[in-house]
Amino acid sequence: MSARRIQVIPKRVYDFSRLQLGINQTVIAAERIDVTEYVEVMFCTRIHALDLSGGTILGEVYFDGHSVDDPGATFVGTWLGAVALVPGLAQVAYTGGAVCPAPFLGVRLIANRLSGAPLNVTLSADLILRCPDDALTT
Amino acid sequence: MAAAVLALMEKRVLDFSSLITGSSLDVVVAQRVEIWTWREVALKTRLHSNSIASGAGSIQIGWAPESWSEQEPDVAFIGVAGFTFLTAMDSTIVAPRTFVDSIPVLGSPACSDYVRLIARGTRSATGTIKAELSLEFDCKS
Repeated sequence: MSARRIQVIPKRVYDFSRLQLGINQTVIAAERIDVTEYVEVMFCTRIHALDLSGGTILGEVYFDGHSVDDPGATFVGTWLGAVALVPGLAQVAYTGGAVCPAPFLGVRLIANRLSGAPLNVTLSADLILRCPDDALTT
Repeated sequence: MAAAVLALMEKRVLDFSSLITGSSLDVVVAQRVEIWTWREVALKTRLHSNSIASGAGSIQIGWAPESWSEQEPDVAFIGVAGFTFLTAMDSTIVAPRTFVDSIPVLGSPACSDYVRLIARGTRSATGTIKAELSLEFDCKS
């Protein structure tokens, strides 16, 4: 058994308060996270502070189809996990995960501005990677 | 294959007898228990003795995902869904007795890095609510 914990997002403020009303904005917080040598992936997102008065924020861990043939493009695959942040719930953790067939992962936030009120989140996130066989990992 | 037994709480008396009728009290019995390296985790609860009076109430063990950040180390981040409670121990449970419950470490919701455990005492009528318990995790990978 081999396991590894990597911090994919250090504590950071994402402020969407200047986003135009009715507009979605996607921010890629981390990409091309190499999980080639691991079978199971768990994510843990910690909400340090939160104000969703002005809209919604969705967090997603997705399969990143990075290609050396087109390294500038972001190939977004299906979701390993997606959570809509719950208004008013700060200092909580969103956890989950699955068996992961993809070699690369990415993390992104999608904000939707619905009113002129503040819309921001302060979060940090880790990935926990597990492989049942020590010999498979370096 | 690797396996380990993590002692969470040694044999200890939990006494909720001073609770007011209709109320409950949560006591943290283990926190920041590191489980992220394991693929199977089972909580073993041993009931060593049971002094809960008939109809007085119950004691339940609950678990929740917990996380911790070195950038804000004084905050305990508890899973957004809160605690999951296991079998309620009341006067009808005869000691000694063992309960084994799986703690999910894959899927959603599941614990990813740490776990917090609480004991919840609930009073519904007068009488003693006291039991002697021990807790451990059986971990496999």
